[in-house]
Amino acid sequence: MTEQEFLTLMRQIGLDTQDHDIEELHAAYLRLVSLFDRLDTKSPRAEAKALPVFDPRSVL
Amino acid sequence: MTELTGYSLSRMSSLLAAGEISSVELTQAHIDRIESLNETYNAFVHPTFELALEMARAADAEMALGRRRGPLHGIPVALKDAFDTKGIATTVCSRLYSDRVPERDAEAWWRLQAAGAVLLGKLECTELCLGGPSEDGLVPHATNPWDTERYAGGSSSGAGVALATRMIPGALGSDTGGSIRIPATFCGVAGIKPTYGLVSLRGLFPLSGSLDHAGPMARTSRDCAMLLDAIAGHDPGDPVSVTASVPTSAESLVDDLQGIRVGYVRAFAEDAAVSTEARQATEAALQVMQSLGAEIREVALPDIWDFTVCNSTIMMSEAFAIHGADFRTRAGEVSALTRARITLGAFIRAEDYVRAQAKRRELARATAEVMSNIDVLVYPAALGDPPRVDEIKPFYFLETPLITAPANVAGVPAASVRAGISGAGMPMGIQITGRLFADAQVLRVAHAYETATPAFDRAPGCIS
Repeated sequence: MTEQEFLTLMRQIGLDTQDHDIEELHAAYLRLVSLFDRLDTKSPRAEAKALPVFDPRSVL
Repeated sequence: MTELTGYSLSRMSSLLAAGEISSVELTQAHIDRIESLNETYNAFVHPTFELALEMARAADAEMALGRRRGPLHGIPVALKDAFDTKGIATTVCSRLYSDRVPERDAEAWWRLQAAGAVLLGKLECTELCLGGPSEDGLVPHATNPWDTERYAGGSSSGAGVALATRMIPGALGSDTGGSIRIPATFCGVAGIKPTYGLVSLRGLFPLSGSLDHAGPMARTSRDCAMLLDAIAGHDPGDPVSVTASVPTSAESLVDDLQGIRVGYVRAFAEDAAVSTEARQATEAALQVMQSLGAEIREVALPDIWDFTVCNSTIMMSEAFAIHGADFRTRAGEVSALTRARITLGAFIRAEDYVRAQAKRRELARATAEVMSNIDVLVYPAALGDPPRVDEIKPFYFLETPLITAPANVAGVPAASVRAGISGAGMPMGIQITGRLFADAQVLRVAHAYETATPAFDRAPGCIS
C-alpha cells in the first residue's frame, strides 16, 4: 500500500490525517504487515473454529 | 527514609499483627514520604490521604477489638489509575477521561478493601495503558529513581516508581504485554502477571480484554503472594474470570528448590536484541537456582517474534476498537506516542485479528506442551537497561521483540524478579514463568531465588 493509498484509507476510517505523522505511521503499518506471515497456523480452520468464544451466561 | 517505609509489606503486616505499630502510624509514615518525594518522581496522580487515614483509623479500631481480617489489614497500598475507585477520579492518565469518576470499585480493589487494605491513592500510568512516557500527556510521567533520564517502564510506571522510592509497600498494576513486569524490572522491584482470568478484570479500564491481566506489584515476591491471595478468585461478573481453584501462594513459599525443574529458554536469552548483561544475569540466576536444588534443563519455545506479532496484533486491534470513536474526533487531545500506537490498530484487517487469535491458541498450546515436563521457565525480564526517555520510539515493538509478550499470549503466570545491577547502575531482572494456574509455584521459585540473593535487594542510590 502506497502512502497515498494509506492516506485515503485513513480518511475512509474517519481519522484526521493532520493528527498524525503519516510517514512514520505508514512505515509502521508496512512493517507490521510484513510480519503477518507469523500469524499462520498449522490448522487455521481448527484454530479459528474456536473463535469467537461467546458464553451466553455472561449476558445474564 | 523512615524505618517503617523501608520495611517489606510482610514485615509491616507482622508488626501490625503484633500490635507494635498502628495502621495510622504506618499510613502517616507513607503519606509523609509521598509528600516529600512525589514532586520529584510523579508516581501519584490522585492521592487520597484523608481517606487513607480514615481507613487506617477504622482498621486500628477493628483490630483493637481482636478482629484482624488477615495479613493485609491496615496495610497502605495504591492502585494504578486504571482501576475504578468509587467516587475517586480514574482517568487512565488521559485527557479523554480527565473528568471520569466511577460509581463503583474495581473488583480487585474491592477485594483488597475487604481484606482491610488502606488506599493511599491512584498511581500514574502511561496514557490509556499503552503510551508514554510522554511530555504532552495529562500528567507528568513517573521518573525512574535509579536514573531520572531513563524510562521507569510502563504502563504501570507509577507503581514501579512508588515501590522503589518506598512511597508504598504494595500496589495493583495491569499487564497486557508486560506492563507489570517491565516497570518492576526497570525500577528494581517485584511483580507478577497472574494466570489469565485468575484476577477479575471487572472495573479495570480495558486496553485489550483478550490480553489484559490485573496483578500485584511489591518489593518482594512474598509481598506479591500476599496481595495475590487477596485478589485472586472467581468473579461471576467478569466473563473471562476462571472458576479454577488455585492454591494459596503465600503459604507455599519455601527457601529451597528441591524437586523443581527449571527450563532455560536459551533462544530468548540469546536473541540479538538481548544485552550480554541481561543474558549473563539470567544464567547467573539459573546457577543460584541449581544451588538451591533445582534441576536446570534447556527448552525451546516458538520464536519470540511469533509471540510479539500475535500480542501486538490483538492488542492494537482491540485498543482501537475501544478508543476509535474518540480518536475520530478528539485524537489531538491524546499524547503523540499513545495516538500513534492506538491508531495503528485501525489498519489491521478483521481477518488478521482472527488469525492472531487463532495463532494465540497454537502458541499457548505449544507453551503448555513444553511445560508439561517443566515446572517453571526462566528468561530475561527485559532486553537490557531501560532506554533513555527521549529515545523511546512509538513503534519499538516492531523493531525489537517483546520478551514479556509470551506469557500474555499463553496466559501463563509470569513473575519479574530483580537479578542484580547492570554496569550502568540500573536494576536487571529475570522472568519466572509457570504453568497455567501454577501461580503459587512461580512465586515459590521467585521467593527462593530472592532469599538466596539478598545483595540484590537494594534501593536506588538517591533513596538510600
